Amino acid sequence: MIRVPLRPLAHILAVRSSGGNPDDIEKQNVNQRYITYTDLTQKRAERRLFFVGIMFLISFVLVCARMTVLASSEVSSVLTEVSPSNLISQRSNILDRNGNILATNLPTFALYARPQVMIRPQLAVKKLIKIFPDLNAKKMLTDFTGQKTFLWVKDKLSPEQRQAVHEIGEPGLMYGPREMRLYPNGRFASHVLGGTRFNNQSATNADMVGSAGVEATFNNYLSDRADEGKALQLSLDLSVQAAVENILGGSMNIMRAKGATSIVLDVITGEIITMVSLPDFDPNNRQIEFAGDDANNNPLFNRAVQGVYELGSTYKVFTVAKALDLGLVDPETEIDVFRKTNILGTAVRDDHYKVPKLSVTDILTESSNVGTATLAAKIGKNNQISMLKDLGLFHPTEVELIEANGITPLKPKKWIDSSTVTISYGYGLSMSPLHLAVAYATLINGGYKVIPTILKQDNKDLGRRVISAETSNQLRKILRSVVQRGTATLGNVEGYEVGGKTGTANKQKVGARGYDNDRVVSTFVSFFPVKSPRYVLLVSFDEPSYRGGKEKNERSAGWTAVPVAAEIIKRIAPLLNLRPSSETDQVVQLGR
Amino acid sequence: MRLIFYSFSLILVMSLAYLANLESVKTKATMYSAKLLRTEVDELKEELKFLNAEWALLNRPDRLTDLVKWHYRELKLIPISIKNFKSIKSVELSKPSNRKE
Repeated sequence: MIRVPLRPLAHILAVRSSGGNPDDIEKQNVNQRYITYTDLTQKRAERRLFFVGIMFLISFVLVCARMTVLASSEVSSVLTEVSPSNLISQRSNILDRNGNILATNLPTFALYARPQVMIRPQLAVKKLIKIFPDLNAKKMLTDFTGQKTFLWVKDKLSPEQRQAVHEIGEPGLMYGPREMRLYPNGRFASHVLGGTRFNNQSATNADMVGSAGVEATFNNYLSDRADEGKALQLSLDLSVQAAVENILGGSMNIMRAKGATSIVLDVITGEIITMVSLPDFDPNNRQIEFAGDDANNNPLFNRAVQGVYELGSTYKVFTVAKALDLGLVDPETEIDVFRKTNILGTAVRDDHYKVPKLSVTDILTESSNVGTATLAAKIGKNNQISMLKDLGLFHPTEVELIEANGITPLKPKKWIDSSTVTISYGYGLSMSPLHLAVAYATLINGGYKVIPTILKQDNKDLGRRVISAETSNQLRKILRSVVQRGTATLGNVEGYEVGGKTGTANKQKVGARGYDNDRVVSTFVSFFPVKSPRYVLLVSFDEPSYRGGKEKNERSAGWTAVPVAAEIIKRIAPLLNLRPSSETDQVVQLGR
Repeated sequence: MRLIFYSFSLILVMSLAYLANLESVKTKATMYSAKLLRTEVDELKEELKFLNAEWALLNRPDRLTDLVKWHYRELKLIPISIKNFKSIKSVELSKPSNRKE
């Protein structure tokens, strides 16, 4: 801005010459300057006011917006911001079908030591040994007096033990918070539940992971803290499981068997009501030192799903079922049988041969190898294979147990004629007891495919049809007569109509070809009530021998597995809410 | 007039500020008590878990069987069997009385 002088010389000279007062010019100029100045400041003030106004507007809008957000937001969102709970334990419970606790978590403490801050390590070791006699005193002393700065002493402490350790008064002994898995029912259902172990231990926490059974299968579900740790409900029934385990355990001792297994299966839903494998273990203390050479005898081994055995005459039902389903025979059709014969080039013999002709029903009641092999030859290799495949006997069962993964039945590499013959009566195809129980459930439930499950099912659709309802009905009647007058007469239970089939299979020789005569697996697969089947019960003993039978050492299933199954049914049928049949005479329609 | 307006506005702002502060204090107090309640709920849940575990332990099948055995003389409990079921026909219903009115 060019500053105009207050008294410009040219103007002054001009005014002077005209005789005016030159001060007027100065006054005029001062006035002019003042006007310019006030204009300028006014404009500036207006700009500033405008700016401040905008600022106020923005802040008002912001405040209004925030207030609207606050007013429209949920109150609960404020509450949830309050500290999330960290007391609730990390792993969900496992319940049985009636809501009884099978596994739960309890807070406990682990004991660790910091040798650097220990005052009297020798005394501490001496007193610790008194509390925990299983610890190694020598090793502990070298650890405590050595260079280590940190070491674990004990995984889990009971409250009493913690108090006792506290009373030692050693500052170098410290506690880390831990969760402990408790299986209140001890050894019952131990194989199904499996067990847990700690992963990534640190002083402040440790991850618990499932190491076997449903604990391992459902590890993600159980350790998921969303949904407040919803419990996992199994299909097992604790009271039935306990009853079966007690009866089976007692009879296993009487028969001096190496092992035993039992499965109770709902024939419609495929729910596993009980699953027992003996010998068993206590899941609260899974560390079992097993010295034997045969892994099958390890208590941790689940015979019901992991063990594959040739289950003998119980397979005969599959051949008969296919023959009936194809319409080649009916239950009354008579078949020629011989004590010894050749079928499809394979020698077959019947040890308890009585009469030259047997009806199809009697082939099963008398458990005739020759009769079954004749039927197998009649239906042919392809039909036999398709039947076994339809029953799920060529694939792992779909049960949700980690042990069952990849347990595929062992079938011959090449299915030759002799395979057809021997498999028809139970040799040459090894499967797990669960496979067998599921196949029977499919055959007698009206012919619908059953998929076994360990989880409680509220509503499950019937599976795909495998055999016709008529065949299934015929099979039920035939299997009923096996119990009424065949190899399983000891399986009769007053009030509950039981049907089933026995199987006594010689075990393969160890390290040699052929079969041992005095080592058998004896099995009884039964179902009840016959008119409207609800449950399949499988009982199997590994190398039993019973002294009360016809022979000095009776091994056949009719004398070992059958009476035990009868005892089990007597005991569990009322527990399963089944009334004796005198009360429920009319046939109940299957399906729900 | 202006003085009255100013003083009225001042009193209004002050009282609004007081109310706002009161609400804020109340909210804080409620949040604190909610936190306490939550802790209490957690503790009770944990306790319930403990009690449930203890109850399950006390009701384990082994122990119940033993209890039944030990107290057989007083309780005479035996496993349920077919003998416990009876037909409705075997229940004696009271006959119509012949009493004269």
